[in-house]
Amino acid sequence: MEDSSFILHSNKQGYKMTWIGTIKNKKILTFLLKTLSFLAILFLLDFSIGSILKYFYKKQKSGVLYRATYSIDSTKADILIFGASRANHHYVPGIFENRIHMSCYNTGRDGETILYNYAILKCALKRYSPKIAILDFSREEFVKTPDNYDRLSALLPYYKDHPEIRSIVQLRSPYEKYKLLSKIYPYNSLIFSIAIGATKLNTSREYIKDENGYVPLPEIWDKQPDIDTVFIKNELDSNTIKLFESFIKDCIKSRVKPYIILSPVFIKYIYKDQSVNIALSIAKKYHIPMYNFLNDSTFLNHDSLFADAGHLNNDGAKVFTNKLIDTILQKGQNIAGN
Amino acid sequence: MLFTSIIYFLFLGSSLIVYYLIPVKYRNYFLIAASAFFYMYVKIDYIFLIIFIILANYWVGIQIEKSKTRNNKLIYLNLSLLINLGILIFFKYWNFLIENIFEILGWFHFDSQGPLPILNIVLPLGLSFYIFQTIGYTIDIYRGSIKAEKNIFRFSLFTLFFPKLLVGPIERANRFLPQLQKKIYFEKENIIEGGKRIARGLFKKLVVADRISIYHTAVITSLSDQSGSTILFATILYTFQIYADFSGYTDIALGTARLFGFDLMENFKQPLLAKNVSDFWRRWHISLSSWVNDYIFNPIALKRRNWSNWGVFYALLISFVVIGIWHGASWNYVLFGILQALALMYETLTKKARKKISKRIHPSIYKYSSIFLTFLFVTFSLIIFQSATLSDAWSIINGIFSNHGELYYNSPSTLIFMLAGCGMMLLYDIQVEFKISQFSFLANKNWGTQQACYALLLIYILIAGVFDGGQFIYFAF
Amino acid sequence: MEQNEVLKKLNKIFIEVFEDESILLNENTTTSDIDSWDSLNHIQMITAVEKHFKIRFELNELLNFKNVGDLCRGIEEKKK
Repeated sequence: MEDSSFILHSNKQGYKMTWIGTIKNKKILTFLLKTLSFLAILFLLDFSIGSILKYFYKKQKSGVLYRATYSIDSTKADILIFGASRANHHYVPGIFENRIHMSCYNTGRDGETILYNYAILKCALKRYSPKIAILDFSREEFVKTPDNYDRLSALLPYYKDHPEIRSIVQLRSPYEKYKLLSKIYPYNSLIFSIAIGATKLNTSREYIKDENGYVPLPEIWDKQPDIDTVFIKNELDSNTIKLFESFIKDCIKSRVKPYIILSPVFIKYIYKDQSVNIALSIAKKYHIPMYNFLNDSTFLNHDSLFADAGHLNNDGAKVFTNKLIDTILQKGQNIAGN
Repeated sequence: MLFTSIIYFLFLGSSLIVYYLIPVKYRNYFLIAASAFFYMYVKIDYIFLIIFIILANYWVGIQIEKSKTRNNKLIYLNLSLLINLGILIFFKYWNFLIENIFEILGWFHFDSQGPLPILNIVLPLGLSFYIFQTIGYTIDIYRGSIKAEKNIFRFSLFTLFFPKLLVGPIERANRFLPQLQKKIYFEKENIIEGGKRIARGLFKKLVVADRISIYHTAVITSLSDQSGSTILFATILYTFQIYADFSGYTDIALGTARLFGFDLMENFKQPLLAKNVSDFWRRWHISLSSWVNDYIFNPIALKRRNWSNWGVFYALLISFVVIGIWHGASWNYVLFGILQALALMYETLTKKARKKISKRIHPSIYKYSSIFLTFLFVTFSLIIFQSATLSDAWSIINGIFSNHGELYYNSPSTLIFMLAGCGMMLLYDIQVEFKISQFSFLANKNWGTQQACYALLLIYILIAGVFDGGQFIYFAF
Repeated sequence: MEQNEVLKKLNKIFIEVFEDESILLNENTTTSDIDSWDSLNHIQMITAVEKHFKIRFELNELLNFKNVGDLCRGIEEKKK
């Protein structure tokens, strides 16, 4: 009876069966070898193409990929700005440097949350101790949002060389560390951005060359402020709350002075936000200053300072940065180190 | 379990190893267990419903065959139709029916006194597919085309077989039951061809469909801010998206089945290259359209043959409304179906005229214009298909013609990814359709070249695939 | 009625209904062998056949015809 099962059953048919059995086994053996050779080709392609991608990724001279690498590997600024798009477009390092005479770099990145921000902090703290860490905080920061974990793909290229962020990257999925065995995977969806960035086109492609990480927005908004009357009790993500607290704790441990800031938006909120309340209580617990500019009339009444409903434009950012520094100085915080 | 998830491939890999290690006679039983596990993993309750459907239809099928008179056979058939359609209608169309019945009653001032009996029913995944398959089975027995399956295990596997359980194809008894009677031995051909098919499916789903989906969703959810050209671009891309999504998923299903030694029916035959709408429906979701053709269109058209053209039109209308509404319980699907029926009626009436035109124009021009016009019609139909309400559909159509502005494509990267993906998919289909073998990569006769190309395909999936999220559009059927 | 005669008569009817002079039927011809076949002229063909032979098929007979041979046999059955 023909049976190509691997289970060897006692062979009473003698020589003939063994012969057929060997032929069948040989077929399976050659098939396995062919499969292995295919896998070897895959591995080689993955390794070589992945290495090429890594090389050109690191070679970026401007743009969001470059800024991320700079934030993680290079910056030694005294003041670091952390946050999402609002951080990136609201805080002007040049003004910090002029008024407080401390170097400043803006690590803010569109679409990223505390998950990313904390990772950047960890990478920075591994290399040096900045004097000040300003974390731009948003309403609904702690709301459970699966997208936020998807966006952690921004950290994938740094996984291998930065063990300090691995636990955060692994929050994406239980299989992340296996996916990362592929050298290409960290650069998924980036190939054309890397290629374009590797050519000279890149410098002109971004809005303007960034100013120490800060990306100014030139548009001018021309509307009345939105009024947000929504009150939903969203499910909260305990991971994000934990990492927010860790952010503060790590700063304190490394003698970095953290500030939690809610920068202006062109929206009037009726209801208080859960996440803001939680952040407030954590900030109070550690005696960390938290300043809220959401209802500040300097901004809410001036659409000319905004690029869109959620972001200040260049003029607005300058006004805001100055106002922030005023507030910090006024509140008598000792800025120049601890 | 999504076909593009890691857990699915872990499940697949381990099932394959066990399947080929155990003695041949136990392989079908193992598949039943694996399929049951698969369905329960999606939701544990589903298994009870499908067990009921399997047992009920198994029993009824045998009764239909055993019945001596035509009348008795019909009684049992009607019983099975009642059960099958009853379950399908309940899970899928209850709320739709209730809302519309009360809407109509409202026109006659019979207003409901209390809240409507809307139930919070969750449609079990795959229900529409395997209910239709089972209905086909019982009707075939009634017609005498097949013999009832007496082996309960074989019948269970016929219904439960996991590669086709959630998203089809809707198999036919005369095609699939005989395969379940064969002994399946390890053939390296099966593993290779199955693997290749899965690779192509993953490409279509991850690189083409999920990539376009991000862009398309972004445009559709901000219609009022988008320019006409952007909306048009997104609408055209949507046609590619839905084709890539469904046919990619089907490729993975067929590839998986092939790995286990089974041959499921083709569901797509290069539909974007169809020359007219009737041709399109012979190339798109073939298992559904041929099912409707055999069990709805033909019987009705033949029964009404005295009405001549009107009989056919009547049958067409019913058939395509069924195809439309099979997709979901809402009026846009009905409209979608009606649109197809109208197109086919038009083609029937103009067949002679179009033939005359084809003789006067250069054949290539006629061929390519036909393909282009059919594509346009399909894209237009899909606007209605994708819109939850008629006003949504109108917003899209209106937006295309009245919104001004430039084409928004997010970033050059996004544009290149989408166009490259569509291009590769289309090139493969063109090559298969027109049987061009000179520059073929994936179908190359040289084994070494083919292997290298599939390796590059997998690498490209790693480079360009969308790995986060990405739900399969046809899931809610 | 001889089978050959039935087949010859059918061939004539097919040529007329499908408007295709090249049609040459045999026992095993199916719809996929005829280019000009579609759902409409299929119905027209059936009604033409029924009219010519003065018979009427049952629905399930029609649904079970797999090829021209089945159709021939069906006609012969009816003429008995």
